[in-house]
Amino acid sequence: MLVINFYFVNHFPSVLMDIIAFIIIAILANRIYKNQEEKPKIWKVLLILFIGLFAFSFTLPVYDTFVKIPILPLGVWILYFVFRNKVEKWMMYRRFAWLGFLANFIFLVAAFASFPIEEALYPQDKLSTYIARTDQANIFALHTSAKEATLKKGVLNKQLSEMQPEPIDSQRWYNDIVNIDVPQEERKEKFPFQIMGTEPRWGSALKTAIFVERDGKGLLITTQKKQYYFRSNESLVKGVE
Amino acid sequence: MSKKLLFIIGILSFCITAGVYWYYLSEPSTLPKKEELKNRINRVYSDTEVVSIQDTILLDSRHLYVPFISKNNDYGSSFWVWKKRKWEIEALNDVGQPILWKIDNKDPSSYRIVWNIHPEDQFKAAEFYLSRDRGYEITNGIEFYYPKVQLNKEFTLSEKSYRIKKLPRNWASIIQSTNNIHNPDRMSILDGDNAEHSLLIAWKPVFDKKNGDDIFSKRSISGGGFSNGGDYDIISLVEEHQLENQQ
Repeated sequence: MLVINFYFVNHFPSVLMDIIAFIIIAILANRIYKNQEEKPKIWKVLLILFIGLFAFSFTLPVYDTFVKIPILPLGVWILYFVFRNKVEKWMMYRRFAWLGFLANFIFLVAAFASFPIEEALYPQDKLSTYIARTDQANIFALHTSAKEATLKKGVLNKQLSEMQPEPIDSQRWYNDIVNIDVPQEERKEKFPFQIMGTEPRWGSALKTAIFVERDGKGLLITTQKKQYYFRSNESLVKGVE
Repeated sequence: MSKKLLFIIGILSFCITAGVYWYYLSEPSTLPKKEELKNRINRVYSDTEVVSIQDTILLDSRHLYVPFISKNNDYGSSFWVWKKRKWEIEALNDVGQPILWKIDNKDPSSYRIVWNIHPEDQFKAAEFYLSRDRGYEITNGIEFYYPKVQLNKEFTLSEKSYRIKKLPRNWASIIQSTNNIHNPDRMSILDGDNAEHSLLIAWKPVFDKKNGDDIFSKRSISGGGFSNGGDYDIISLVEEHQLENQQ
């Protein structure tokens, strides 16, 4: 019901645009305040703005996320009802209540405006979006069929800007391993390692699990929303041929 | 007058803070006596009668593991937590099958595997598996592939029937990273069963080959118990079809 969106506080584009939205709302509130004869107390203005935010809205999927489109000014109605017998007070607060409702749209525009920033700062087809820091990086086997392995950090760091995205063919990968017509020793897990301890790019709010292909040249990055597959021309792992 | 009032309020709030701290956060200074533990278990759990407490093992300052032997010669496990200035029995299993005690369920490095295997079961080691089924999903053109997870870790049994083990460090990391990327919103859109992609811990006994499996009496693996609060998973025997070739 509320349009107030809870975002990850570590998501830089959202935080930046929301700060700008707050500044715009503050400027508008200040303008109303100055142009008004009757000056209400500041804390009351803030309260009215906050209640004015309440709105019935519907949720729309946009790109990989959801946005809430406000339709009915619920908070304004509540305030109108509260002040139904106090016309002078209502005249004093009315504009702030509507500004509260308008703020929903300002936040909505801010949310849309954060998408291009997101695209620019965290391109989905660049490995360096998902792996920005590697100083704590480590590799573990996920499967008993994987040999002991160590991560070639130097190669990984060099490849961060060079590895290319490739399409994921999940069904074929799966079927190739479970196909009983193929001799068992050839059907081994495609991604038997995981890299731990890396950090995604600052402000991206990404959480990742990074699976490593058996030949050491492929990375399957899993985030909360999607998977991305990157290939390199040299192996990132010592211990695989 | 107002100074005096402020002083009283100050004293009062200090007392309340100290009281709350003492009641909820203070740490135990002593462990209960074995006799007392025995009586308390027998009072809350009537399906079995404890005749002897084998040991009291502190996992950290507030979590206590108490293995016991009952009247019909079963080896059981009880789990105690220091709450509100008292040792409370939080869970009990009247046989000692391995249990995963998630002391802080958000932090897999706090998880402990605990067991109290009956001495009649004379296998030499217990082998634990961390596994997840392989899977794939395609929804609206978005593809997902989940690699198979299959790791094992063998713990030899000691002369004592009971034991507490931390998860291997890489297991804890794998569980943690799986939790991090778990997205309930996305999972709910899919018709697939999300339990399929969750990690499972299972175990099997390891025998000396020459003696065969006749010493696995299984009296350690089928029992009853209870838990009120806490986060405990019974670790079941591994099903062979879940395991892949291991060369």
